[in-house]
Amino acid sequence: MKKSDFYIEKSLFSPANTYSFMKHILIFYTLILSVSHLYGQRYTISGNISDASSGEMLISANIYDLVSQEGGSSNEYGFYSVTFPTGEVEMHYSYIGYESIVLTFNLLKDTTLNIALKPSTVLEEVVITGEAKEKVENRTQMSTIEIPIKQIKKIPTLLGETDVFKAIQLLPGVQSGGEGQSGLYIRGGSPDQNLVLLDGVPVYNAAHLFGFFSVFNTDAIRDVRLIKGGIPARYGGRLSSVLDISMKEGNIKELKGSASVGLISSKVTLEGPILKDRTSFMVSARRTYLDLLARPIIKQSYKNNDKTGVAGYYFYDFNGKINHKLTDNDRIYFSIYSGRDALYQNSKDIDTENQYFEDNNLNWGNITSSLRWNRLWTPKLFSNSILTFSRFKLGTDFTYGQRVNDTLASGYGLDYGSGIRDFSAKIAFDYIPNTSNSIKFGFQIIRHHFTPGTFDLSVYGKDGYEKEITQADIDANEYALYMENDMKISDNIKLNYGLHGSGFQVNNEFYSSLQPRVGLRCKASKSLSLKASYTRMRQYINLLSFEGVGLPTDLWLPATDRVLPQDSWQMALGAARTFEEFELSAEAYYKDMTNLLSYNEGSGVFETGDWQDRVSQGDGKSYGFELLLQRKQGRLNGWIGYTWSKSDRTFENINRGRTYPFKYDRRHDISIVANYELRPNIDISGAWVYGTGNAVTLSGEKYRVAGSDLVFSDNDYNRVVQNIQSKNNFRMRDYHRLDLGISFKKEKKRGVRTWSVGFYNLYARANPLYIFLGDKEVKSEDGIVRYQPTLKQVTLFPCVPYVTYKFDF
Amino acid sequence: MTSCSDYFEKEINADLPNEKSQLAVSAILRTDTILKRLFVNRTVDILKDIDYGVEDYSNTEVTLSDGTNTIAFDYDQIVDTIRFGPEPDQIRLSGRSFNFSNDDYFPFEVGKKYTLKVQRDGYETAIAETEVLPSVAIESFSLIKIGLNENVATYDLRMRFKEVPTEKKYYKVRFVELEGFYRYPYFYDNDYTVSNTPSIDDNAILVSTDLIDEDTKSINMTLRANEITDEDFDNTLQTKIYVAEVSKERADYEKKVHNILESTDNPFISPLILPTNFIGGLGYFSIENGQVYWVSE
Repeated sequence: MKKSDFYIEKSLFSPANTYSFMKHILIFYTLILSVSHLYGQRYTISGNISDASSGEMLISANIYDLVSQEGGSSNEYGFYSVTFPTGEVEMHYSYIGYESIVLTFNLLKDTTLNIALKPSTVLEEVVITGEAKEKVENRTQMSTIEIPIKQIKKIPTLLGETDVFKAIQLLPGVQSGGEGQSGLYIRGGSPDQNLVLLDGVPVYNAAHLFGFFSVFNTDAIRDVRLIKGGIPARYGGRLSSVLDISMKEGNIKELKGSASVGLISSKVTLEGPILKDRTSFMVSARRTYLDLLARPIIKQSYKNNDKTGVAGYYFYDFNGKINHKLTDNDRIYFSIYSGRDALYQNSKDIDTENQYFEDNNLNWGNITSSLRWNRLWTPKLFSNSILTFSRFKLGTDFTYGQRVNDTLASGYGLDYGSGIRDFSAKIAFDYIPNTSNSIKFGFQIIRHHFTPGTFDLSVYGKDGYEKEITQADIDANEYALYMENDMKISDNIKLNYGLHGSGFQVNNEFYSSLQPRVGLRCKASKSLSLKASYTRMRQYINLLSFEGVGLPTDLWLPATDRVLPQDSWQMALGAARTFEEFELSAEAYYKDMTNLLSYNEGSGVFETGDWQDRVSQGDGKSYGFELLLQRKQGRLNGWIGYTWSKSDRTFENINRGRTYPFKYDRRHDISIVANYELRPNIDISGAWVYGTGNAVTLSGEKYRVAGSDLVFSDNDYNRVVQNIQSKNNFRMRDYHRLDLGISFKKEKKRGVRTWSVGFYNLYARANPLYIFLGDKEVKSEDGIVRYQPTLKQVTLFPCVPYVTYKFDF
Repeated sequence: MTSCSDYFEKEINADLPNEKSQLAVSAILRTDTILKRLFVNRTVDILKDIDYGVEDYSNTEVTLSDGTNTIAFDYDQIVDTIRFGPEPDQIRLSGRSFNFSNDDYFPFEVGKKYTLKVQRDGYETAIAETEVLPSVAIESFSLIKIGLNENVATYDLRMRFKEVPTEKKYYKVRFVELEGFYRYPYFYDNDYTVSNTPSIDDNAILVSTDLIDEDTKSINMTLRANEITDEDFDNTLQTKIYVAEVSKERADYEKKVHNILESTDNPFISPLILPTNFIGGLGYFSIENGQVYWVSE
C-alpha cells in the first residue's frame, strides 16, 4: 500500500438552501426505513473513485476506515459517500487490479475526496497486487457476479471473437442455448427475461449472426455485472436477471486506442480527452468482412450462370460516448450504440430482353442512445438522470420477377417488418445518510411502441395487385417507482430491502404491481457469511420466439387485454466464504413463474393473423444449486462453476396440459475457466464446459390419419403423423468442449501488440445442434433402392482455430 | 481438425421413447348419409416402414352406441390386385383394408351423445364420445368472379348467416363439386381474405365466427383455383358447398393435423402433439351435422 501516488481533491461542501426540501424528504425516508443511530458529531467524506491513467470511474471500489472499521463502496458511477465521527480517520481505498492507497487525516468537516487509483501493473491488469474490492462474504447482494472485462477478453472463443455473453455462459446458473448461440438462459428463464442494459438502455436484440455473437464489442465495454437473483428494487421489468453493461467513458487524460484484426471481423477503438480532465470521448467500431472477401468468387459464380449478382452477410456495430465534467458536482454523458446485420442475395440474368431477377434482403439491428446527467447534490445525495432511446427493427424483402425489355412483366414481392421502439426518462437518487444505510430511490417512465409484424404482398404484371396485412402497432406506457435501503443492522447482519412498484398502460388496460425485494447477510465468522433473498418480479413485455432458434424474426410484444403480464418470485439461500485467495459461494434457489408466453404447438414463423391467437400462457418453475469457486488473483486465476438445476413448464394448451421439461432444462452444468500467466508477456487461457444434453421432442411411433371426409386417395398414404407422447421427452447426448488459447504481447515503440491464437472445441467433440428424423438409402438384394427412416444428428462446429492481431497504443 | 464429410450430419442410434402400440381411429361420421365409414390402424415403430398391405384388421370390433341403440361396423377388406409383394403370387392388401363401414339407419339427434368403441386383441380398447351439434343457420351464399391471372382464377365467396352467433363457433366449409371447369380445380389454402384458415383437407377449410363481418353478417372468402383456362373461366361456375359446425376440440385437432402434415422437416415449427378424444387410443371421433348448398356465380 502506498500513501503517495494518488490524486486528491479536497473541498468544503456548502449545502444550498434550495435543496432543503429534498433533504427533508430524505430525512423522512431515513426515519422510516432506517434504524436510528445516535452518534456524536459526524462528518461525511464523499467523492468519486477513478482510474488514474484514464479517468474512468471505478464501480464497486472499496472504501474502508481502519479506525472505525466501517466503510462502503462506490456506486455504478464511481460515487461514494461515507460518514464517520469527527477525529482521525485512516481511509483505505482499494479496487481489484489497482494499487490501494491509505489516507490519514483529521475529519473536522464534510470533505470531498476524489480518488484516482493506479493500475497495479501495465501489462497484466487482471493480476491483483493489493486487496480485492468488497469481499464476497461482506456483500448483502447475492447471486451477483462481476467479471473484469480484461478477463473476458482472455477467454478463448469461437473464431477469436471475444464476447461478453459467451463469458457469462460459463458462469453457474447461466446456460447457453444451442451450440455457439449467445442467448442466456438464467435459472430456468428464457432470454427475454433478462434485462440487458447498455449504459442504462435496454437492448432488445443482443445477437449478431443469428445468435452466434453478441452485439457488445468488448473493446468498448468497461464493466459487466450479472444479477441472477435477489434483484435489488432499482431494477424491474424482467423476471430472471439483470445484465448491466457499462461502456467506457473515454480516457480523459490522454489519447489511446486499439485496432485488431480477426478471422471474421476487425475492430478499431479510439478514446481520449477533448478538453483535458473535463471532456473525453470514446468511439469503437467493428465490422465483419467475409462478404467483401467472398464477393469476387460469388460474382464469378453468377457470371458462370449468365447472371450478375451479389450475395453475402455482414454485421457491424458502432459505440460512441462523450463524457463532460460540467462542474465538480456535475457530469453529463452521451452514449450511442448502433448495430446492424444484413443478409442479401441479389441477382439478374445478363440477357436484358427477357430477364429474370431476384432480390432478397434481410436486415435487422438496434440503435440505443442515452443522455445522462450525474449530480452530487450534497455529500450524501447523488442523482443520475437519464433520457434513453432504444429501437430494434427487422425488415425483409423478397422479390422475384421477370422483366421484358426493361418492363416488369410478372413477379411477386413479399415485405415483412417488425420491431420495437422505446423512449424513457429516469431519475435515480443515491442517498447515504451514514455508513449503516445506503438508500436508493427513483422513478422511470417508458414509452413503448410495438410493431408486431406487417406483411406486404405484391403481385406484379397485367393483373397485379398489392395486399398489405398489417397488425396494428401498439403503444404502451410503463412506469416504475422504487426505493431500497442497504442497511447494516449490526456488525454481522446486513439487510437490503426495497419495494419496486410498476404500472403498464396498454390500450384501455392498466396493470400494476408491487414487488418486494429482500436480501439478508449474516456473518457466521470473519470469512463466512450466510445469505438469503426474496425477489418478486413482473414483466410487461414478451419476446415471442421459437425455442432453440434465436431468430431476428422473434417478436417483442406487450401484455394486452388478452395477454397477461408475466410474474415471478424467487427465493435463494447461500453461503459465501473467502479462503486466502479463493472465493467460494454456494447458492440454492427456487423460482416460480406465471403467465409465461409461448407459441401454440404447430405455429409457424410467418403466419398471418392476430398474434394473440397464436400464443398460449402458462407457468414455469425452476430450482437448483450453484457452486462457484473463484480465484481472482495470482498468475493462475479463473473459476470452477457447477450447477444442478431443474426447470419445467406447464401450459394448458401445450403437451395436452401436462408439465414438461423446459428445453434448456439441464441437470448438470460444469465450467472450468483458467488463465495462466506463463511469462509476463505470455498468457495461456482455457475453458472446459460440460452440460447435460438439451431436451428435444422425439417420437418413437407413427400412425396414419384420414382426411376430414375419409375420402381416401393416394395422398392419404402420406398422412402419417408421429405419436408424440410428451414435449421435450428426449435428451440429446451430453455437451462438452475444450477451448484453448495463447496470447503473446510485445511492447513496441508506439504501443503494445498482441497475437492471440487458439482453438474452439479443441478435441472436435461432435456436439449435437439438433436431431431430426431423416432417411437413408437401403438397397435390397434384388437391387431395389428404398429409403428407410433413421435418426440423424446435426453438428455445427468441429475444431475451429482462430488467430487475431491487436495493437494497443 | 476434423474434415469428415459426415461430421456435420450423421446417423445416430438412440433409444427412442417407445410405448406399447395403440389403436388409432379416424372416425368422422355424417348425419346426412346412411353410409357410416371409419378408419382404424395402429401405431408402429417410427424407424420402420409402415407396411399397410399385410396387416389384417378382421379381428377388430367397432361399435357405435347412443346408450340405447348399438350398431357394429363391418370390416371392409379390399384386395388391391395391382400391388404385389416381393413374391409374385402374394396378393397384398391396399390401405383401404383399414376401412370399417355400416349402412344401417342410425338415429342421430342434436345434443345427444354417442360412443364409439374399438376393440382388438392385444390392444387397449379405444373409446371416444361425441355430441351432435346443431346445423349451421346459413341464409345465403354468393359467388363473384374476380379475375384470371396466369391460369389462376379468383372468386369472392360470401357466406351469410341468418344470425351472428354470440359465442365463438367453428365451421368446416368444403367445396364438394365444381361445375363449369373442364378440370377439377385446386383451391389454394393461402387465403389472405380468410386469414388463419388452414385447409384441413383437399378443398376444405376451417373458419370461425371471428371472421364474420358484423355489418353483412357474412364471412368473406377468396377462392383461387389453378390450372384454369380462359375457356374454363368464361363458363359459369357452380359449386356445391358443404358446411358443418365442428367443436373447438375438433377444430384444434384438424388444424394440428394440417400443421403436422404441412410442416414435415420444418425445424422452425414448434413440436406438435396431436390431441385425441379417445381414451385408450389415438385419433378423433366426431359426427358432423352438415348441410349442402348449391352455389352459382
